[in-house]
Amino acid sequence: MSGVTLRGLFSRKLRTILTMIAIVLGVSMISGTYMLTDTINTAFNQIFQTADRNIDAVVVPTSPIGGFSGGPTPPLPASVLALVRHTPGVAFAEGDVGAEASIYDLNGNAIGAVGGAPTLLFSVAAPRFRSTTLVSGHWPVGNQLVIDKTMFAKHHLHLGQVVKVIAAGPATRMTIVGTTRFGSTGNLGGAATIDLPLAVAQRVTAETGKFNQISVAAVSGVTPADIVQRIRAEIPHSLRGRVKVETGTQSAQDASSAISNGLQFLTIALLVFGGIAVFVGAFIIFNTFSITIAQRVREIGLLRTLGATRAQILRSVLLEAFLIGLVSSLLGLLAGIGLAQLIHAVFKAFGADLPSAGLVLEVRTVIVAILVGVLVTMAAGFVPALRATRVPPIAALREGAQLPRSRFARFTPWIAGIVGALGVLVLIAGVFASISSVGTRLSIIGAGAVLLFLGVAMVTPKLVRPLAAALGWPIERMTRITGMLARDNASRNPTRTAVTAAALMIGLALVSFVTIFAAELRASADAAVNREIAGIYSIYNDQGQPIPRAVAPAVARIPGVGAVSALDGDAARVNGSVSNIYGIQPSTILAIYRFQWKQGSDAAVTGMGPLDALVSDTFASGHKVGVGSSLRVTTATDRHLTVHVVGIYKSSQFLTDVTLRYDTVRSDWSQGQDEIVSANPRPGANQKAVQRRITALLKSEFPIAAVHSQQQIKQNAEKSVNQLLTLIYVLLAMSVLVSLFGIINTLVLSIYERTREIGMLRAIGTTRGQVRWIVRWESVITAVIGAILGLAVGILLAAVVTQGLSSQGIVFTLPIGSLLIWVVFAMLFGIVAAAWPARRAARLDILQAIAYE
Amino acid sequence: MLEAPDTTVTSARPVVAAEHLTRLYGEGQAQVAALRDVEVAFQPGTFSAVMGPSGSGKSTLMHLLAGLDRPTSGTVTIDGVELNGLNDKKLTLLRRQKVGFVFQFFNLLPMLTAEENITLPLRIAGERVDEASLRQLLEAVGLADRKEHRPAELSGGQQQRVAIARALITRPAVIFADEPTGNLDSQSSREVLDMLRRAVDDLGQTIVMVTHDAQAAAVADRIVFLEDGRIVRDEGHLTADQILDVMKVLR
Ligand SMILES: Nc1ncnc2c1ncn2[C@@H]1O[C@H](COP(=O)(O)OP(=O)(O)OP(=O)(O)O)[C@@H](O)[C@H]1O
Ligand SMILES: [Mg+2]
Repeated sequence: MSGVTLRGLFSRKLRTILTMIAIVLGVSMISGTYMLTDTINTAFNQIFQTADRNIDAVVVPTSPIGGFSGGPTPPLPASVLALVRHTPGVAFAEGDVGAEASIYDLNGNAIGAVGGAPTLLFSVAAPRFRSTTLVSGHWPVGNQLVIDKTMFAKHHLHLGQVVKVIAAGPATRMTIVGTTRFGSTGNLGGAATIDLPLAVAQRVTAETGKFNQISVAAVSGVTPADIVQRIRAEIPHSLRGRVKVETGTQSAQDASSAISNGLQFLTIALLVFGGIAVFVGAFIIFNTFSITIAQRVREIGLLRTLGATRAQILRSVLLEAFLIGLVSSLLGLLAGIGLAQLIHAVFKAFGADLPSAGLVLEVRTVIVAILVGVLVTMAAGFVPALRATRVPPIAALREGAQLPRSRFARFTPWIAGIVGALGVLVLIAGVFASISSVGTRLSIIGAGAVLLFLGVAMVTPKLVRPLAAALGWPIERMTRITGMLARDNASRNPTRTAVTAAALMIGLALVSFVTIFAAELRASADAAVNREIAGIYSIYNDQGQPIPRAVAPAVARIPGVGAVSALDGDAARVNGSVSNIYGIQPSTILAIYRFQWKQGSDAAVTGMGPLDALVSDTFASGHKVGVGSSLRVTTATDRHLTVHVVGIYKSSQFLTDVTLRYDTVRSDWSQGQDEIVSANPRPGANQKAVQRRITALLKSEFPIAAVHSQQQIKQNAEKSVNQLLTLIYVLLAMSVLVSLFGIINTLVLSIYERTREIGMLRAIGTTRGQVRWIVRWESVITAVIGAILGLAVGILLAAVVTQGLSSQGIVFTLPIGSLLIWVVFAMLFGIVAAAWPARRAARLDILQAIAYE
Repeated sequence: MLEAPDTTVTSARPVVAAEHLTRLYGEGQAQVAALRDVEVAFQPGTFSAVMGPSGSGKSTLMHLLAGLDRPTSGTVTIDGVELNGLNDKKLTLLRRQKVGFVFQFFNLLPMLTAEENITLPLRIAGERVDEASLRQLLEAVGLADRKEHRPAELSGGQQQRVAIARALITRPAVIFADEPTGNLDSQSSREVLDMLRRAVDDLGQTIVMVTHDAQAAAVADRIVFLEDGRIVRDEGHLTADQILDVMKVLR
């Protein structure tokens, strides 16, 4: 029997290849994701190992509020360095500075890494700890710096050039005196790096006398573990909570795992999209197996008359599925290498040349790829395989024998209804139930969506005829015969058309869901700006970096500027959990911001004392506090204070958890900079002229900040929503591509079945062009059925999810225009999918076609 | 009944004519001559049968005459148009206008009703369907009460009658029938042959029919016998017994 299977696969080469593509694409995305993230992880691992290779121990500050949330961790005081140096066994110890910074040329143009990678500022390390090598020039003294050679080349800098460096401290002009490289080849994984003399680095980062890390070398004979123990013993109790001592190796590992935690989100997101592509592929496998088995009814009947048992037939079909799954997985793995390499090359093009020895292919990747490919193919082939076993031996003798209807066929609509309804229920549960973990919530929503898709796909065969009739009508009016025959062909085998359309439905449901959701996000951002922002000018950094404190007073001095209000952003532990903290200036905030009060009023702001707090409604309900409650606040600098709630505002994208007075947050918190400075023109001043003056000031003095009108805030919000939208479209493209092959496959198989009909049509005067259009219109009808169902499901998904987010100010909208574009897209998609099958059909040799049996 | 086509003016000219028609298959040693230098012409309003042993070239001749295949050498002329110079598109349009087909396996579209199958050639040509003549045609082939049925709901004989009506509806210059009774029982065969005969007698339709069946050929006005790719006999009307006698002589 297995011989028959194999020969069957080879003789149906084309179909087999088309079927395999459906699985190859999805598997390539999954394996590519693993390879990519493994490669990045390994690369950073190498970077950190290199950076810490000669360091026996490091002493770093930790934040008492913990984790990576919130502002930067306050640096170590100089006293710690003295302490470490006096520890027995320490041969050498130095304090280092490392922080994010921005560099500008003297015209105010940013010199930075491309693609969102940060610019990192370091103090020049002692030679024994150095992981960077000088490529040209000399190490810096005074107001000089060296820069990594990648940035140097990218921005066409030259030695002796003066640039402006901005971190938390005052902006400083510095001369480039050299270039460096990291480790043996590259840069810090795409980040731009500059090295400054320690004292200058401390001044620029406003950390005079302080350090972000102390690097330690032990005397020979003392192991890193020993020296760590000894230093720990020296740290006084008062500092224990704020200082971490560990070996260089551990520190490198910590840093790597921080990177891989950061990558986890990317990994999961990419895997989800790969999974969707595989899910779509399963529909195509199911369809192909159903069609080929229907076409082989006589052959199967013959095998049965020759004595093959049902179990043997089942095994033969499942073996075929297994082989297709296995080969597809292996090809998917190969394609995944290509995909990962492609993305890697894109990274490289953006300057992020990771110092990798090559693509990392873990055993786990191979196992997952093969398991997913084989299991999905076999699962999708199982139902058709079962139906094959029901072919009676007599089928061998009958002309045009049909596959017997499944025993459960008449229950299908019921099962479909139940599955679909269950999907909606799970979806609603996922959206509305109180679940703390976002991951769990999304998994439940995902499971609901999968059930909904299956339910809709199962009910689709019943919808194909009416939908094809409705869609065929205008086409038939327009084209007459080709449209009519296309419509008839599409509805001839409703299940086949339904499953093909359903594969596209999934992609387009998700596409229309995100289209709707993005429109809602844009609308809510617009509404929030209109509702809450009263300031005419908003000054902030477009990448979300903080801006210097000196901006607000400088802007206030500009002629024509009226009220100026600075907003500080920080994080603290409030009543046990890490929360966002905003610092507002009560005397001016009301001129630039409109609070949406739940409890309290603007008077609560004007009369705000140093230990008064405003909280958002979500924070209040989450922490079960109200006006009059007191909150225990622990800052990143380990300060403890108790504040009292005097008002509750509606949470917004501008103000979330807790708002305190600016000077309270300012006094000794970690964040030394402002988040936003907002200003209004003086009454009667020329609004445009004032904006020009602010722009000029920022450009020359504070290039890190830019002024935005309310319109520009909206546009920026729109831009970031659109960027995300584009990214998701790109990721969903793989699933849509899989469904494209589904349509091609179905068309090719159907044309093969209708060879004789096509021959007859050609004989009686149908031109090649007409034959092509018959195939194209069938494809368009199938694709548009998929689009209509996809839109319907997408709208349902969006409606449910929007309802769940209504408290966030997100309102259900239907961007009809954008959604219709997807229907047009589906039509074009259908025409593209039909291109090759239509050519094949038109090229059929008439004589062979009519002689064909 | 339908109007007879106006054949009086062109009666002198054959509807279909072949000159020096040769069709070779394959290359070199394996080369087969399916037709060798065949000369034949069919006059308007005649019913001709093409007979011969299996492999003698009957189908090949019909395909060449109908413009479904191209000869290795020689020419075919349909209703005054020489086919050799035509590209695929022109040839298709010529078949659409001037040629009708009846196949052994009926070749109806399963999704269309009998009526829709019949009007298919008109729709392909983008022409209006004349309801009155359609009704007449349905009457003539005895399918007036079956016009809404799909092929699967019709008997073989009824399906072949639909196919004949489909061939007739465009009033082609010539209808080619390749073993139209090959798949039918004797009763249905008689009905189908009777219908073809009436199309010739009542409508002046020209029909060329390839057949193995002496009973079928006996309905024709003329019988062309092929052997080994050549026309070996060209007779007028013969009875079934006479035909069988001729066939016995042929290989
Ligand atoms: N496509 C082809 N390739 C090669 N040889 C062919 C091809 N078609 C026909 N032939 C050969 O040409 C010869 C005539 O074939 P044709 O089909 O015309 O015979 P026929 O008279 O219709 O036979 P039958 O009564 O069996 O239908 C045969 O020898 C056949 O093998
Ligand atoms: Mg033949």
